[in-house]
Amino acid sequence: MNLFDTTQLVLERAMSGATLRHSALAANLANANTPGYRPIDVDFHGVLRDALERGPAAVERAPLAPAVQSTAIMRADGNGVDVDVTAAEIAENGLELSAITKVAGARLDILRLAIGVR
Amino acid sequence: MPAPIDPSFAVTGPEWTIAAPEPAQPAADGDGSGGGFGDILARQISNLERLQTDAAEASRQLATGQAEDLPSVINAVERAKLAMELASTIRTKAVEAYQDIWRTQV
Amino acid sequence: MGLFDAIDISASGLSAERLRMDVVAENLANANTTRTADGGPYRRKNVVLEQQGGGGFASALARARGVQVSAIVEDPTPPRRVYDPGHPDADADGYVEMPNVNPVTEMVDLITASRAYEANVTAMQTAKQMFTKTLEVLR
Repeated sequence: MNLFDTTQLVLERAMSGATLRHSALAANLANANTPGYRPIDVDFHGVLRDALERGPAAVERAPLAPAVQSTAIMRADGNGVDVDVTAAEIAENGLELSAITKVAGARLDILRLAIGVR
Repeated sequence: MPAPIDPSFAVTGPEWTIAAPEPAQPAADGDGSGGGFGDILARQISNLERLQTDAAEASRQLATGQAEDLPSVINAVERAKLAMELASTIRTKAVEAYQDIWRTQV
Repeated sequence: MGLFDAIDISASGLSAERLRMDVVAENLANANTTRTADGGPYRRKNVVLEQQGGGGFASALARARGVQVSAIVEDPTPPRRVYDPGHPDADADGYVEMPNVNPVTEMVDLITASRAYEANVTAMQTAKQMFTKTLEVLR
């Protein structure tokens, strides 16, 4: 296992992606009653999946940015936010961030064991 | 060069005999059947490699959203960590034993 | 994503029950509406729920699936005829066609939907706790 291999890099970028996604989903929730509001999301899963196939440099440069979701179901006033589903997605994203952080930390612990640090 | 040891110093007699230890039982998964310490060590190291690779694959799937369930990812990482702890302990004990041998007063 | 199926399913339940509550509120608010856009009294609305992924080959898929709203239909029960000659919408015989909304039925639906909403919230909280507990293995 190399020091800070591609897997560790992908985990770190996923952490950044999940943090950014929280802000996007929180913005959706805040605009749950804004007429004409289109919800946004950060698809860091898809971006990292594509970048992984192209190598570590692509993962490092992977663009993490919010994008407007075109599949939103609209209310009469043009607002496309489903409050319940958005709240569930915020919870899921938070849990996913915890999981990725814990896994990344565990891999670093394994690295420490290999180095010999107590 | 130290002088050869006088044979009269040798301990003999039945009360000084140390019985050979029972041969180690093979491990339940068949890993430890036969082979010397070197073989055992080689097996553990290749096992370790495989577990690290599995954990890396599971971590990548978690990061790209392709993981099917969380316990499989967590267990893969925990197994890799335990295997590394085992390898680390074996290495530490081997080094300590080697140092003990060097420190032994003749 | 396979990881969060439990939470997604509960979220679909929350969405569906919220819609049911909205429809109940609309029925109650229009319980005395005698004029609607297409003429005639208000007709009670009903929400039809189905399992996500369609109802056809349900047994073929082994996954757990959530709920989705299949349709919002009008209750075909005929309107109540109430004798009220002084009403502006009374017909020649003095009868008014009132909406087929029974407030008691609507209240029962409201309570059912509300309890189902709470149950889904509890299920979602439990799923989150299970997830967090699993992460403690790596402590």
